[in-house]
Amino acid sequence: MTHPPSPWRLIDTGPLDGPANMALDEALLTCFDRKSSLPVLRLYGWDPPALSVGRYQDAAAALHLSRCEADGIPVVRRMTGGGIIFHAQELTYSIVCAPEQVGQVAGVKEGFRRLCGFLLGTYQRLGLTASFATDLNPAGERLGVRAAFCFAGKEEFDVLVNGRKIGGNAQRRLSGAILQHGSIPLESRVQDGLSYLKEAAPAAAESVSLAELGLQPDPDRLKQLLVESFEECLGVTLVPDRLSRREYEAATLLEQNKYRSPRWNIEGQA
Amino acid sequence: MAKFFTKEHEWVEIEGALATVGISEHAAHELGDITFVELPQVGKSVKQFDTLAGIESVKAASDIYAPLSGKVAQVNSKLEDAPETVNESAEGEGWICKMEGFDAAELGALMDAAAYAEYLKGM
Repeated sequence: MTHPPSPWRLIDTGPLDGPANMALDEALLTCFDRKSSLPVLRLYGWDPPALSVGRYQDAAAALHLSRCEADGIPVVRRMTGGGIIFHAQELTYSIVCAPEQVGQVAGVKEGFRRLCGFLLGTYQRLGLTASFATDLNPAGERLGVRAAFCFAGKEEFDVLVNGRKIGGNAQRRLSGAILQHGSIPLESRVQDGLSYLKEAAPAAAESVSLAELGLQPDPDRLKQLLVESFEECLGVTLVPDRLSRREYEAATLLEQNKYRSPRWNIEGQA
Repeated sequence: MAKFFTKEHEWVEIEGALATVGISEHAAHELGDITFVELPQVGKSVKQFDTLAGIESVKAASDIYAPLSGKVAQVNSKLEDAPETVNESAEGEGWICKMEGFDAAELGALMDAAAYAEYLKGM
């Protein structure tokens, strides 16, 4: 007997600013009940462009904050790990689920492999050859070294196209639930991001975007390919949905009290 | 005294007036390569099962919860420069902090090593 695919919620919020985006991701995680909630795939973008820093990064040590302010580039702290990302022309996703909803993945690394698989499928649907860094490491490059700028480092389950890192992914684990978010870069804005860093990150120049690979997919078509890949990879059905009132209200409070506050964004104080 | 464990995979071991806290070998293995430990402030007061510290591995950020209520008396500052110590010896050299002013009766809400081993089998 075969079971019908499990339903997941698909929430497309469109582009929002950095604080609103990060508040919404946290609200989806904190409103999620592993016993009673459907898991979520959210799609979004960033308007205006923004820099995000990882949960435990020292923003003042890593970034020219006065330059960010002068250029009107907001700095927002994620609740997930990882390094600094400059968000501009990208399709961003977030996943909220319990480990048992994605095949009871054992550990963080296996979680990344399971939850990033749909990205490989999306790139493959675009005609690209994509793989995980751990499966394509001919030069014996050292993986997993902590880097201040996300695109300057490679983890085992980073996605590579033609041997170059494409996008970045990070997780938060909270009371048995997982939030993972990440990006598909449409155009490379890495150089723009580098200009705000205090330390050079030459390895970041090796990262790549769809435009640099000669692809400019229609945004709706790209979302459709991503959805198809996600459903196939995880054996689920994505059902278009909206934020619940509870999620919306939680996001509004988080945005006001946390993600628009320098105390969180710059100092990292919850 | 023996170690006691939480369902979120922290351990605590009481020696006199201090209770040493860390994460279990199982948790360290599940997290993978630990790249950062956010140590608590000395003097910080927490309730049992509240967030005590933070830990990052492979771009995943996770909380470490307090196995007992009390006040942070010491932190393992070695982890600032060598967070991988937690991977190497989670239940020894990789301890996170020592707490004081706790109530040993709260151990009743935790698992001993045998119960924790059974708990892991059921996961």
